Amino acid sequence: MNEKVSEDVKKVVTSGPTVSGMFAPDQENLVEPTSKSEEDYERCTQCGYCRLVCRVYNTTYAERDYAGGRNRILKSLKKKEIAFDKEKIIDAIYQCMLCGNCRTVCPSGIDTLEVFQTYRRTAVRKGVMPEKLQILKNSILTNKNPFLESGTDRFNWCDSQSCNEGHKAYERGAEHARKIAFGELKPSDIEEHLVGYFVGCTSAYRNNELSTATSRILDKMGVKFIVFPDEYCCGSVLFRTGLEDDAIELVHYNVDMIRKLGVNEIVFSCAGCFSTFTTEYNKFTEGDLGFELSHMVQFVPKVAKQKGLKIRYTKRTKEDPLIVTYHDPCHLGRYCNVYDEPRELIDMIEGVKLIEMKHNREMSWCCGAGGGVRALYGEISTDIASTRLDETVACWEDINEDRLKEAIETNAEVLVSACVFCKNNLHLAASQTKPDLPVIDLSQILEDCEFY
Amino acid sequence: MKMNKAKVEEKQEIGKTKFTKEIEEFIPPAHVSTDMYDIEATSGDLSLLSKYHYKFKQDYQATHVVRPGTTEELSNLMKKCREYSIPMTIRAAGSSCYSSSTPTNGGVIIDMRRMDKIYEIDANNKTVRCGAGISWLRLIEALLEYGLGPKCYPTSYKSSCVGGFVVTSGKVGIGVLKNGIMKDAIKSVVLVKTDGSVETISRNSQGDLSLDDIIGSFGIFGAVAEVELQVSSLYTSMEMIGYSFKTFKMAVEFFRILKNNDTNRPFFLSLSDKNFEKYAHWTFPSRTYFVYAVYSDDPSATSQGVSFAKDAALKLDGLGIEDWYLKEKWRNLADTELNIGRWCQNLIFQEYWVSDNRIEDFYNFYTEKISKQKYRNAFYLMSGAKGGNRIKLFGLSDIKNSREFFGIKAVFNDITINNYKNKDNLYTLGVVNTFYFLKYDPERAEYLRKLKNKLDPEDLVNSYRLVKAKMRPWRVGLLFWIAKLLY
Ligand SMILES: Cc1cc2nc3c(=O)[nH]c(=O)nc-3n(C[C@H](O)[C@H](O)[C@H](O)COP(=O)(O)OP(=O)(O)OC[C@H]3O[C@@H](n4cnc5c(N)ncnc54)[C@H](O)[C@@H]3O)c2cc1C
Ligand code: SF4
Ligand code: SF4
Repeated sequence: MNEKVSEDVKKVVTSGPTVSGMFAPDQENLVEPTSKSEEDYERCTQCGYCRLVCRVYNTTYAERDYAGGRNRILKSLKKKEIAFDKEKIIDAIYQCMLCGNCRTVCPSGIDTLEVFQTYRRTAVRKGVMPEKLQILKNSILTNKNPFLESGTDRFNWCDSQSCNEGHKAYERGAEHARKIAFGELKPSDIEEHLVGYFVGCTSAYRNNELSTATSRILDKMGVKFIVFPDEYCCGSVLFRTGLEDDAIELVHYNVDMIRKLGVNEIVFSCAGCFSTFTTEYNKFTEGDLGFELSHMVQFVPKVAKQKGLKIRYTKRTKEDPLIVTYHDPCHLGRYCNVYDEPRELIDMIEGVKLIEMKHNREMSWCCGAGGGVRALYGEISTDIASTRLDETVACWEDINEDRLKEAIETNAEVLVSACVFCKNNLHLAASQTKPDLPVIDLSQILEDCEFY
Repeated sequence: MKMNKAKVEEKQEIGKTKFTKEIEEFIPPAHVSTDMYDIEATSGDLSLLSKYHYKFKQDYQATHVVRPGTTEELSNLMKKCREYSIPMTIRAAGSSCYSSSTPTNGGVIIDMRRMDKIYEIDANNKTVRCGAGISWLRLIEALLEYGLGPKCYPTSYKSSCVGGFVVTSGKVGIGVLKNGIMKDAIKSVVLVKTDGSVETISRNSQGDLSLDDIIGSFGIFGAVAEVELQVSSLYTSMEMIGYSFKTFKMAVEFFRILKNNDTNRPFFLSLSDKNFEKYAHWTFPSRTYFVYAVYSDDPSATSQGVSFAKDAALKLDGLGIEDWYLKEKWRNLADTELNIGRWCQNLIFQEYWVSDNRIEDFYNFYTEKISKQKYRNAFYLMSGAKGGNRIKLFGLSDIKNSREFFGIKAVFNDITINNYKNKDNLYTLGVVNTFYFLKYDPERAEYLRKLKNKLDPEDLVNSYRLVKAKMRPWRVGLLFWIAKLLY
């Protein structure tokens, strides 16, 4: 096609049904979820639109695995047309990343995430408990982290040698907590805008590069933040996997702990923790958390603007920028509507240029890690005894590979995200199939930036 | 068609123990499912009734869902099913409703949607060869890269598959009026016949089956594995027009003028009543009847079509519909029919094939019926190529009010009989309405039955479609007669 014709065609197809205009979320009748009813699945017309956007369905091809299929099962269960078998139903419940893409395109406005999380909750109450989930649950309840690690090791990442900035923030936090505990300081007496960094289990125990980078960025920007010495797991995994009953205690614990310290704003490097605070923590405190929430991709541009700071990536120049493509994490994007800020942030960085993937923002493909899928199905990949699980796991890998294919098509040098789970999952797939494509967190670019 | 029953059961018994293992030798085990939840999800279609057909009796429930990924896998699977006399139900997206892709005899649901590869796009000759299980949406997206588009496709393109449109009628939808129906676009299909043998069938084929036999066969002669289609270059301009009319007569006249304008044929053309607009959209214009047309061509031809329509509308007191609404209408085209389902838990519908010159008669008969039996209703006509149209009637019934449900069914029953008596017929057939076809189109039914007996003597593939009915007309007649009395 010549360029003129191609332009004309583009105009035509984006105004009509052909091409992705058909899934544009601004369509008149793609309504906002109309109710939060637990039985919203009743309103599913089985239209099948969400089938095409479901990364799980497009990997397993099983009707059971997409939202419409799951809704059908729910309807049949309600009418007792099929039995509820607590062993056999596990895959039908948990093979879903709760990525929310189905919710974005549902013409009936069904809040599929609400429906499926309720489904999981009800199932757990009826005795459904995958073995791996039980281990995870025990670890969170006992150690306050899902990794079977000792609670006392939570701050190993920020000893003075590995991350001095984090170390200082930890000490500030400990001192602040002590003063409050001994009545030397009252929260109401704190004059400055106190910022706390909620590190989260994964950055604390597994991905120290994130907690380190975050601490260094905040430090470079002149933010005198604290780290919470008494931080517990936020409970995200429990909420996603139907163990809400066990998570509520963590909500109250963390909220009380933060409120007592008089912190005004919490900064997160973990998209999972951020979305759990934004949705569940807000819900269980009836919208009255008492402190602001910001993910780093929001906090950095905000503070940079307030302080009149410019950002320059030291490893490249304006003329020869690093070409990145941004993977929207479900927990920032579809869960919390954070789409513009990370793009704005990348735009602010001199020496970095953003190229979009085909599926971005509301229509971004999930990396394949969410909803407990990585935890429940990822490790079983080694279990060669079960061909079925083998295939399933292969499917998760396929999901990751597909997402990478898109990144490659944009000719990006680096795939960046702002979620530790996305990073890990995409990185794993990259190491197996696309070793030349680095997958990093945005904070790792910011760590190599100058703020001036 | 009957085989010795004991012998069949003996074969099936042997199959039960061996079948799964044997097919897992050539189809990846992840795609051979006996999971009851998977079977449940794959058994229904968009309509509510379908599940009664597989739940009514335990025997109807399938035991497997198998998802072949290649023609070879599909062929081996069908051979294996034949070996053990295991019934097969071919399924794609399930959007055709009427239980057409719902199991009725137990056995295996063959889910075609793993066969979704594009094998070749020849941009010079404007052809594409793809797996029959590919969804229209994916195909459209892939062709777009080459500046090409399908000649026609159904408005269910967001979910339905190419193979599904080939074996249902494929006579109405987007593009048909301008570019011809699905049959005209097909160059060849690769069919896996009921015995598992593979045959490529094109226009000149001399075998048992012609392309005409496969189109509209609802899968009774086997599974279409691959399709080769003639496609066309994408048009460079597109405009939608819409006019509303005070009377049905004027709306139909306008509709016909647009349909018969051979110089500028619309790419899409429909006629609907205000109830349809009301239930299908959140916002809608006033007035009673609506005609929408999409013109797509090069810019000068498009604007010619649009001004032709404008002139014609003026003469018939047509009121132009606002641009913003038209834009939404076009973007939402796929959703409109489905949106009606949001208003009730028990949407009932029937699709009729009605010739151009009978539209008013059909409508008059329909309005007479609904004036006697009041229920929430909607009327939607989509133009086919010259000669005929699909009229879809909707009844929005309350799940708790079974008398209303059967009352609406009874109205549809009367309209169906009347339509057949006037030499028109039903558009989409499935398990639930095949009995009409058998009774009112016996010649065609007999032709198909003979062919079916020859190719599938045990009636294993897509049983209870077109050649054999699950319901008896007299029983249905009696039921509806009682329903009318009660309603
Ligand atoms: C909102 C909406 C809009 C629609 N618009 C139109 C329209 O514009 N025009 C129109 O004609 N129809 C339309 N339909 C009806 C339906 O969408 C079409 O008939 C569609 O082509 C069916 O495709 P499917 O993939 O859903 O097939 P299914 O519904 O799964 O199957 C339909 C029949 O084909 C058989 N079958 C499916 N695939 C194969 C195969 N590969 N080989 C052999 N047999 C097979 C099945 O056994 C079944 O009998 C519409 C339906 C809806 C819900
Ligand atoms: S939430 Fe995501 S993975 Fe789950 S059904 Fe919806 S689209 Fe599929
Ligand atoms: S898009 Fe909504 S209505 Fe359609 S199948 Fe999915 S959940 Fe159901």
